[in-house]
Amino acid sequence: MVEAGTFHAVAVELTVGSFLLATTATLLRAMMALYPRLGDKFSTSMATGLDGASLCGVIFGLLVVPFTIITGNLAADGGNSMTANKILLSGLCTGLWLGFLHGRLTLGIGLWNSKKLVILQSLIALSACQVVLMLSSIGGTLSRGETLTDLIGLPHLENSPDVGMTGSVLMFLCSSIALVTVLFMQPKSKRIADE
Amino acid sequence: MRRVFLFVILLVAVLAVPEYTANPGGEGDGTEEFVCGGACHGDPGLSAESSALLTITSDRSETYVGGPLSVTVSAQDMQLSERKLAGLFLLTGTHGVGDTPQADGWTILSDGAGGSGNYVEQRVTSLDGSTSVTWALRAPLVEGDYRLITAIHHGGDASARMAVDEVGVLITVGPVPENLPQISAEWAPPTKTLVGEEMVLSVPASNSTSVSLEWTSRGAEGSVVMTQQGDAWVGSLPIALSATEIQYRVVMTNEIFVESSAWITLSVEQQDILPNAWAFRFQSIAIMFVSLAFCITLNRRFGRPAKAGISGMESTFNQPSTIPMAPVQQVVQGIDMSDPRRPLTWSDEQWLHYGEDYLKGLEGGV
Repeated sequence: MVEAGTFHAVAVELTVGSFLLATTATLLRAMMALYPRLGDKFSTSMATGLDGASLCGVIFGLLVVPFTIITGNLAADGGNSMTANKILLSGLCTGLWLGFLHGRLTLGIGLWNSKKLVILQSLIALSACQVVLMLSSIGGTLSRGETLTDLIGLPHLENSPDVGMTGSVLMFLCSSIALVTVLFMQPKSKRIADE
Repeated sequence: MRRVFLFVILLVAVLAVPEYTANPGGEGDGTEEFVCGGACHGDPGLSAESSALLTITSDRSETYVGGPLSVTVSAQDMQLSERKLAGLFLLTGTHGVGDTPQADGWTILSDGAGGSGNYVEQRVTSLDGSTSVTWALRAPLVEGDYRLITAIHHGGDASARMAVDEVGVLITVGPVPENLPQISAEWAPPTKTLVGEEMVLSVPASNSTSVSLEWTSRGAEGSVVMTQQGDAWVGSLPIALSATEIQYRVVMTNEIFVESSAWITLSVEQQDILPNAWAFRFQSIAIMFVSLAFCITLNRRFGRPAKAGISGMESTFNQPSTIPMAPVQQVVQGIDMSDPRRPLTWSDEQWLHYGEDYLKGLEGGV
């Protein structure tokens, strides 16, 4: 019988790989957009390819995330404060990548023509990638007692905030209202045409 | 030039790798051969010398086939890393292969840390910098002399360090005395339990007329009489209310002998569970919603066409007629309501509206 931990390891590798691909492709595409001289050295198909790679990486990563979370839950066998941090960070990770994907899909490929949007998408991708790395780091600490982030002196997230069930439900309700407000009441942006 | 540059970068990358970062968090308890003492850091011979003073003692020098034996290894005065982690080995040689006690036929019943391996890692937290591990063993099924040795490896002063005590202890394994009370070789003593759980032991002891369970924990000690149920003797250890360690042994007696097992360590652990996993799941979803809403808002804010926004405002402010305004009432300046020239029959409203024209008419239409 293959244990949940083994499936979790596979799912984690797929998730981390996909998101790293998306981040790398986004940053390269952003450099092409921000430095026209650099962009001119490469063909248009290269730019389109990088955009597609980032999009595919995010979509595939987001498809694998539920599988990663479920196997992680099963492998945790009860869990502790570090797994609680993993639960919280996985929410942040999914939210950031969904935001990245929403931006790209609603604004279209033309977003690479806007300097502000290029910087924003790059920052979202970098932040989300950082969260992914923190999640991996906690996983390494849980399974091996050490993590590569020890080399750069990042602290171990060994304590987790506890706001109780009532606080959590309130947070959930407030955030739901915030999201519904943003989705249905905020003026929607238009798709930017590719020049 | 590029090749030289690449070579320099690679060289710096290789030299920048710290030598002590192989497994700073430890390898974990388990069954490891001597070569493990260096495998994490290269060849054992490459490890720096440890200043550890190793001591190995046993509760007896002679036992019998399948008989009990307790071995205690202690170490002190070693230079440790910040993690204060030290790994202690119980070995039969330093060949690097096949030098575990198990390979020589010994059975490790307990490693004193809730497991049954020959390698135990401990954080050295005592003031005098010492640590010790007690193994409970069952002797091999072949008679003879057996040597048990010990080794330690740890990090310290930015190096992987290792020390070996190759003298160890010599144990003679003889034949089983006739009618000696014994525990079946199949019995695997429990070494781990959870706080608040009752630990019921069922010991398959033979040649015994009475069996008891002796235990000790943090200075407290006691004895429990076991009752015979079929081929096994059954008894319970006290229920621990907090994480601790309980050492116990089985004492078997008959008309001739009083025989006991080795001291076995039962590790009582706190069940490490989340107080309320669903609370964290709700928080996680909340964080996801908030971060998503934040990203969407930023995207919409920066994604709004700049020209349309400015022209909209300009068109509003450049065409005053489009600005919705309340009807403006004309206010006539210089009209005195108590002017003596005001006709007596005029109301205030008439004087306010037509007074100025009336006064101009009086003055000749100027």
